[in-house]
This record gives sequence, structure tokens and C-alpha cells, in this order.
Amino acid sequence: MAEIDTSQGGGGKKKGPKKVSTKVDMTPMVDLAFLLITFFMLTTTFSTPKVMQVLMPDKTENKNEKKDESFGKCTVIVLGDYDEAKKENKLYWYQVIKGQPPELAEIEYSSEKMREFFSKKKKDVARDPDCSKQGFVVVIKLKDQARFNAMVDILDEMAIVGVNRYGIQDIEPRELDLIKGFKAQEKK
Amino acid sequence: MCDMAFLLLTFFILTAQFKPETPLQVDAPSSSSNEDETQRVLKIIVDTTGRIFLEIKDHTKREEVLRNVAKHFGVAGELGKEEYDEFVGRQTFGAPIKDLVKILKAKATSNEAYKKIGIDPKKMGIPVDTIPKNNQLSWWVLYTREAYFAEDRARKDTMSKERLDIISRPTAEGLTPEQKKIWDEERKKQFKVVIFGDRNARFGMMKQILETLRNRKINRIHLVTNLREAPQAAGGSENKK
Repeated sequence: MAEIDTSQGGGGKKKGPKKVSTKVDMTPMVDLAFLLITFFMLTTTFSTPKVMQVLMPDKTENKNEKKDESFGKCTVIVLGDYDEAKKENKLYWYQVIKGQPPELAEIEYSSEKMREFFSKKKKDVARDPDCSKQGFVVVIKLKDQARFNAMVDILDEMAIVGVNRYGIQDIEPRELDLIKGFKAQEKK
Repeated sequence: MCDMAFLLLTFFILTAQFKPETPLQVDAPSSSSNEDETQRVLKIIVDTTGRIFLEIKDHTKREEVLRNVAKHFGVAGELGKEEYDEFVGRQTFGAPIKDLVKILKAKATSNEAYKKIGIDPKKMGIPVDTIPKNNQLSWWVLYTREAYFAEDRARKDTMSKERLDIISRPTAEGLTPEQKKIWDEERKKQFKVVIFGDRNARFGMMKQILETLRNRKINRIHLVTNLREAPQAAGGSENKK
């Protein structure tokens, strides 16, 4: 393959100094070539960035829709906060049930725990005949200092669990108080 | 065989694309969404500190957008052909319009160069404000969409009525597989606003951006995410910070 014919003419008499073999050993080079091929094959991804779709309610349509408190038990309100000391997102949830003060509880911030929570709630709501009309609704309200990945993670869980009705809304002052109260209680 | 090997090698070296370079450090959050990003996109990049940068992916549209935005803010007179060319050549930009003019004039690309012309890199980024007049992002969005809008309308004029009917639906539910294909195709061609946010960006900033987009009646928004393995396959064993 890599031999170079250096003989001059056919089978003449030997002339000049003794010839050294000009065969080059190609094995290391080929090895290297294949190594590089493997490397580039494995690192090339041909990938385009992935995107995730979010639908926001139309502003003009939204005005007509009134809050209906009686459907509170079909709706889970998720609150998000960020713990600066621990550098992690915190999630809380509550439901609005008539005649009861809202009770906040924490959801551990990990994909399994979130998925578990939403699947369980979804099942509970599906069993409830009062909720047959509008189904399971999740309202996501994050504090300003919550991180962007909290939003994406929650939306991702919505897609995985199959929650079709969810919305991102501004957090209300009374909900900020709820979080404050919850934290104070936790410390005791 | 050796030839073959080198041919392959050259091919892979030439086609290898290391992560598209951005002047910013942006680390996208992960999700299991497997939708590809398309070409007709306005990308809103938000870095950790909450600065907003924009990328108009199609470079043929860039000049038109800048021209309209500059006109709106009354700085069109300061921009010449050279500045427009400089702008078209830039993938991302992010500065208040007055600073952007300065940057284009000085052809500044690095933090040192910005400082030289009196711009603090930390204070860069396109301003978003609750006061509509000062919300420059809002105008960039508007004029970018307009740049695509005329093209879309021209294309729609040539379509058959059935096709128009299919693509005007908000979701693909209740369509036959063939219709769904058309619908999907159309979705890919549509102009999209994509938010490429760092996972540690504050939600407060995102809220402002979402609000700005909603005010411009853009309700379908896409978020750039890294692909995370689907939970069915991975068993959801991944733990996130």
C-alpha cells in the first residue's frame, strides 16, 4: 500500500550504496485516524436547540373570565420561592376551599417529587364529580426571585403528567404572606 | 481503507459544530420537550444577571428591523450604510438603542472596547420597562414581527382555502394525519419568539418579558431548553439542584 518503488529499471546490477527499505509503517497513523474519527463521530451531535412551547392567555380575552371560588378544590395553586441561603428553589402549594383558611404545604423540589405530587392530585381531581367539567387546573405563581429553571421544570412536569390546563400568574400579596407564615412556622 | 478513513475524518472535522458561540454565558434549563428550533425566530437571550440580548436569526431581516427601530427612537439619521452592515454581521446585540448606535459606529465587540466608548458592559442589555414608551424590547419585537409578517401574508395569499382552514386552528386536535402534517409544517414555518434564558435568571425578569410579549399579542412563546431524557426511559432518576 505504502511502498514506493525505488528500483531503477528492471533487475540491473546493483549500483551505489546499499538500499534501505523505504516501506513506511502506516499502522500508527491509521490508528490515529480512526481514533480521531471515533472522537468526532461521538462528539458531533447535529443538534439544533430544543424548544418548549408555552401558551399564555390572551390579554383581551382574559378579562371576561371571572374567578370562581367554588372550583377551588379542582385547582392547585403552586407558589415558588428561592432560598438564597441554600441556593435552591422552593415550591409550596395550596388549594382554595370554601370556609377554610388556605393551608400551605411544601413540595420537595425534585422532578420525581413534583411528578408524584401532580399525578396524585390529578387522580384525586379526576375522581371528584364536581370537577368533571373543568378538570384539573394548576396555577403557577412564582416570586420574582425564583429562578427561571423552576418555571421550566414545573411546565415540563405539566407536559409529562398531562395537565392540560395550567397558567402562569402574578403572585398576590396575601400569598407572599402565606409563604412568610409558613417559613416562620417551620423555624419553630 | 486508509483513504476512506481520512475522508471520513475530514468530513467530521469540517461538519463538527461546537456549541454555537454566544458572547454570553447562558446555560439553558432542561426539559423533556423534543421540539426543534426553527429558522424564523427572534431569540430573546437572558443571562444570569438579567441582561437582555436579541438575536434575529435570519440576517436578511436585520437591516429592516434596525431601520424601523432607529426611526422610531429618532436615531435613524446617525446610522449609515457602514453601521447597517456592521449590524447585519452581528449575531446578537443588546444595548439601549442610543448605545447601540455608538457600538455600531465604533465597531466595538469586546468588553474593553465598550468601556472605551463609555458603555458599562454590566449595564448593557435591552431595556424592558413597565412604561410602554421606555420598553425598547417591545419595539424590537414589534418591528421584527412586522418584517416577517408581510412575507407570511404573501405566502398565505397563494394558499388554497382548505389549507388556510387547517393552519388557522390553534391545536392539531381532531385533524386527520394528513391534515396534521400540513399543520405541523406550517407551525415550523411560522415566526416564533424564543426565550433563551439562563437557568438562574430571575423569574421577575421573565415575567416582564412575558408581559411585554403578551402586550404585543404574542401568546405562543417558546423556551429554549436542553434535552433531558424522557422520564419513561430514564425512570425519572435524575435529581436536579
